[in-house]
Amino acid sequence: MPTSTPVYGPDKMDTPRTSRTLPRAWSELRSWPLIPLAIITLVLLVPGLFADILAPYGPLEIDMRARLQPPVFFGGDWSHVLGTDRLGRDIFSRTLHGAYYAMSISVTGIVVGVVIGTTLGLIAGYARGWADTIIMRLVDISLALPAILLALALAAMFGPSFQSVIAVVVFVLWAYFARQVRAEVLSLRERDFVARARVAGASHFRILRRHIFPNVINTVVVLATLQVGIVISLEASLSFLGIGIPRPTPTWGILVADGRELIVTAWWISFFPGLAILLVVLSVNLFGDWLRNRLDPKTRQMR
Amino acid sequence: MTKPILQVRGLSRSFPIGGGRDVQAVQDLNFEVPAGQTLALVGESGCGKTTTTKMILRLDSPTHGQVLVDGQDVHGLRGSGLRDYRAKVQAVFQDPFASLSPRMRVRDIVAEPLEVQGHHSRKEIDRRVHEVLDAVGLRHDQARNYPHEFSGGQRQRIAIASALVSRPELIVLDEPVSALDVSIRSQIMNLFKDLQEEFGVSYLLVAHDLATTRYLADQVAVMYLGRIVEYGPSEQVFNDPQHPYTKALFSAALPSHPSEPDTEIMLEGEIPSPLAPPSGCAFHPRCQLRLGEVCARDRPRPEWSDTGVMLACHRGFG
Repeated sequence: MPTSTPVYGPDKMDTPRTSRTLPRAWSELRSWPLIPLAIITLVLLVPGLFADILAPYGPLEIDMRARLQPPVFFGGDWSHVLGTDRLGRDIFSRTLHGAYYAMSISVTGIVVGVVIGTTLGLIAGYARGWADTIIMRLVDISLALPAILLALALAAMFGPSFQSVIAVVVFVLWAYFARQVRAEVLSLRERDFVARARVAGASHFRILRRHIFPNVINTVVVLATLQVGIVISLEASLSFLGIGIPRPTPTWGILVADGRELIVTAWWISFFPGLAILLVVLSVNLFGDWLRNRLDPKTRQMR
Repeated sequence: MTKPILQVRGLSRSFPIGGGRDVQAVQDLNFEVPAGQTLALVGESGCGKTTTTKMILRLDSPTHGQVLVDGQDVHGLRGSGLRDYRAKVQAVFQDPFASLSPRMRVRDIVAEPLEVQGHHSRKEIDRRVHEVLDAVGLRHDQARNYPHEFSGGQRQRIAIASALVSRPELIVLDEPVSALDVSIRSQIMNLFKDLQEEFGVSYLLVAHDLATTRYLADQVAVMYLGRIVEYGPSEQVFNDPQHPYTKALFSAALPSHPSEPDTEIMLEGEIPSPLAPPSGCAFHPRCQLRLGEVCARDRPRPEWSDTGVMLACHRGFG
């Protein structure tokens, strides 16, 4: 019976592809880590920047009539989507506001830590000699000292504050950057293009700026991205222990700590801020891994 | 003879190796590069060629002796004298994949010697960059590209353009073609010749490739274990090598025609360690023409022939 035609007929094979640029753009986009980027945007960046507009309630707004209300599909209602804590504060609004602290602490802490660490790493690797010795011993000291211990000391001396958390973050981060940058500079400074620049008469500052720094900036960017997760969890641990930003500031660590005693009866108080931490840290790390592979010329060649 | 652009006098460099001992990398070098000419330093790896160029380029300091450029001691220069020297002496290194900053555009790489001088306008710099790109055979629009977009030969042209842009009087060529494909070596060598004719620049060529040396050099200095053993006009040294080491080195080059007899003189043993240099003449343990005890006991004194060849060998000219 001549009713069915073959599926893989010649006319089908000869059909020309209409667009070649669209599939290429699509495959380029598909190589991006879309889910981690979406999570970073939706859970960290947008709430961090627009929490005041997005949050239905103020983060500190108490409503004693709505105490310990469960989330919407767990016996609660739409007035408090993610439930409330024992003072009737809206968990959804508090988690949104927490993103602001997670974002501002990681950005401030990492920028300051990266600038200090990279500068000292460049100096140590390029100058060598006594400058190198001093800087690297400071790195050793910094790496040997537990961050929690330092945070305790700072909290005891100055009281817990935003600044003391930044100080701890910077203290933890700078040494990693200094060590990594120094190692790269040590190898870069012996390369022929640096010798050529010296023969051309370039000053040390110019050599660092034009020939060495551009070759370490990739590493620094990737490392910095990978630190975001570490900083957010560090801030959360400090706040959880009560030596970070003081209450009642709604940082994620404090929100998790708030629900500690009620974890059996009102699990949602700790769960949602904890979920936010988990998602953001995981996404940022996945994004950082992707960025590292993409910026590394060796893996880039293979694509 | 014309006024020398580069004079090296009694140049020595030793490196401490711990335990209060030193290793002598280069000892008591004396040579000159006349203006507009080419001097080649040849010798095996480890004979001190690179250490010598580093001291001439002021990337390293000598333990003794002087490097004079235009009669001025390079290692005593400060301020404007140093800036003048940096403009006068440039270098082309062996590996064009290592000697160009990977994150700088060709224009910036080539322009760097002018930019560091700080007294040229942007327009003037662009004009001179285009001028040297023309001279080395690159297109102007390639100035916007990054080094990784070029082949090895093109990269070496970029390095040469950069070395030329400050209109130097001396360019140190440290094995400038040995990292290149054989097929483009001759192009680059011809380029060096043409540039010398056009700009009157002098070359100090470091090479272990004798074909390059013979083609480019006006004079040759043969080094062995940190010392010059034979030094003279290229024609003389190539056609009638006097030192047993020079003879062996030159005989190692393949004959120009396959049917010609292979007259290679096989050297016995390895090049001795500079940590424990042989007594007397440093070459005596490997020398097939050694005279006897005198070679192991006394260091040969340099002698000069009527034809302007210097020789450090107990056998003398013959």
